[in-house]
Amino acid sequence: MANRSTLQLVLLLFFAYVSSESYESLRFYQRRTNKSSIYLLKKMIGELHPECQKDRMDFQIPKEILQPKQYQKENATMVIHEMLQQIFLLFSSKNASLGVNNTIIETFLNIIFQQMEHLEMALKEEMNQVNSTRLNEESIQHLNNYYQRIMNYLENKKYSSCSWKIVQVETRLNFIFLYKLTERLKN
Amino acid sequence: MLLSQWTLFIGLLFFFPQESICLSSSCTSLEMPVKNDILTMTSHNFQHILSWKLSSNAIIPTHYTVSYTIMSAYKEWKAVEKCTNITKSSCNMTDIYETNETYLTSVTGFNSKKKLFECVFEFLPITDTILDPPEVSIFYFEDAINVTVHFPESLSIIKNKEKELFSSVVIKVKSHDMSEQELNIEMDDRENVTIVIDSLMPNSNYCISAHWETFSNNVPHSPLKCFILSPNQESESEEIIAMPLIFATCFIIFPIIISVIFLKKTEYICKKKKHFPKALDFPSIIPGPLQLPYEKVTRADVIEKTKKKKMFNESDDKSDSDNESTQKIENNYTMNGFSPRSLSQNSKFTWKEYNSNDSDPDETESPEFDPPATDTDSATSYQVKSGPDESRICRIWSNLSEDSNFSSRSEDCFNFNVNLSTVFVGDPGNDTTSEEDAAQILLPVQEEKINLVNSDEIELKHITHATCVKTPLFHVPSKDLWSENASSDESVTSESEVDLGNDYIRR
Repeated sequence: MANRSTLQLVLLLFFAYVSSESYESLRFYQRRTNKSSIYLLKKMIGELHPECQKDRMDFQIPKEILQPKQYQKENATMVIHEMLQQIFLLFSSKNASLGVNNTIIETFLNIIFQQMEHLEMALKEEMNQVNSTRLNEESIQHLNNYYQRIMNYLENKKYSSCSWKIVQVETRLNFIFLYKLTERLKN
Repeated sequence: MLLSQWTLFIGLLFFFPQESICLSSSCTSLEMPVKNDILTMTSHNFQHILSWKLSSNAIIPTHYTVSYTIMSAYKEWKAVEKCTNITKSSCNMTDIYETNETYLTSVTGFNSKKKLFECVFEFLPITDTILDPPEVSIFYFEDAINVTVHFPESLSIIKNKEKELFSSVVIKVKSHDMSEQELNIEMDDRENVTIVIDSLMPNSNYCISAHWETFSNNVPHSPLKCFILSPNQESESEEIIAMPLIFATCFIIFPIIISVIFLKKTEYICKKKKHFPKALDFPSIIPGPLQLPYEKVTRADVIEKTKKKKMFNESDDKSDSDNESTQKIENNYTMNGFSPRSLSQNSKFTWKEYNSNDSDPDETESPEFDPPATDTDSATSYQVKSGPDESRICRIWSNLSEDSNFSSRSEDCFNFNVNLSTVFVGDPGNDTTSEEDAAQILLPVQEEKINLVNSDEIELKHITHATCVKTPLFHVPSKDLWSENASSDESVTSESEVDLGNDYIRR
């Protein structure tokens, strides 16, 4: 009995060490990829024409994105992963490349995909140890509602170029908050 | 060393980050052509100054109004209170903009109430502002360096508001072979962080710079700090600042000093007044042939007369007296003659001559001579070859004893002070001295004795009343210093004959 508890303690310490090392590398990697994504979104937006002012929209970004300091690193990882997943789905929809160089869109999607893979590797090590708190479920739901509003907006605007400009501006703001949220991954 | 100084000099020529953004705006105008690039946003450490400049041929508006709105919500345009109906062409937007919001800003030009133009541009402060780079201090050793990164004073307020922008620093290490290495440093809310970069190559040139790792569009780097790792060298980066000053001093001040010295030497500047000797001060009027008033010119006839030389008899010379001088009083002149003496083999002679091979730096060059052929213990015979020109024989014969502690050295030997008007030199033993001989230029006989060296004694020979006489090199016969055959058999390269026998001294 004593040997079994000792083994569990050793395994817990081992995974804690591995996860801390992986979070450091994850934070380092996320910082670089977020920086690249922001740069690509600026290129997508380009010159913002004044006539697109009429299509401006308040998507009511959730506080989970606006206030990242409340998260522990494990919860922050889940929030980041959910946001990346939704953005990937958003820019994979039709007419996303309208008025934008197709190469930029494909590069943008590749970066997001690689980011998610790194996050999933880090999440697998935490999945058995981290309890799914209610906070995380609500946060996930709020995020899901947020991105659904964006999808509905595009549909209502019939995926016009100005509506995509507005969505690109909103997504750029998402990545700025993702950059800040990544800092929560440090020990 | 010079390469490193140049590298540092170029690096410290200073990299100024671009603080102004030429905005790509959309401009509409009613009665005047307006370019889309008239707006400029100068954003430095989240201090935003918007300015605009119209072309000279455009109609200049009388006043301007700046308005703004955000992109994340459908809100009305709002005029900036401090920039409504202004006449100046700039507006401070620092208090208007929030860091994470995307803004649309318009500048409208009016002439009275008539709108002349309107330009709109997009601006996101957190990505478009230019932040001051981190400050870097370097302390380097033989093969490693200590790099300390800390916040500049200008970011002391901002770093607390936007901590995520300053969480990581990238350090670039450029080596001598132009390769680059990047290192990431986590600030972790610390004021300064120090890292050690080791495994560097000694005697190599390295340059260090740092910048924030952020998603900003314009990230300036800190000024390059270059150094050379050398053995037994520990220096702080602050010493490098003094290097350009030393470099400039060497290449500016030294050439000036050298040029001044050169001009002074060539007397291009500071010309010296030349003072000619009084001998060259001629009177202004010199009638006829040159006549110097202080010198009396007397005609003199030179009569050549050949006299036989008498061999000095050695047997007769072994008397105690070492003085062969004879005196003869004739015509109120006291004549002294002196004869050569032989040198015993036991006497030791040393003589100094000025030899070019001599290591004594005080000695001057001497004519070439053959080493003595006979035993060096005795008086040696030698031949002195004549040099290319007449030169002064500079040697002295000194007869030194072991007990004697006297040593002398003179540049000249056989020096004579002669007053031609008071000297008569004749042959004391020659009764056939004629009046003609007496009519010759006479050399007075000195009353002081000339002490000759006794062969049995070793004394220093004093030669008094000397005067330097320039003579050509002459051949000195062997064994005896003076020989009657010297003039006949041996090469005499000089025109004068020196006969110390009972005959005349000729010149």
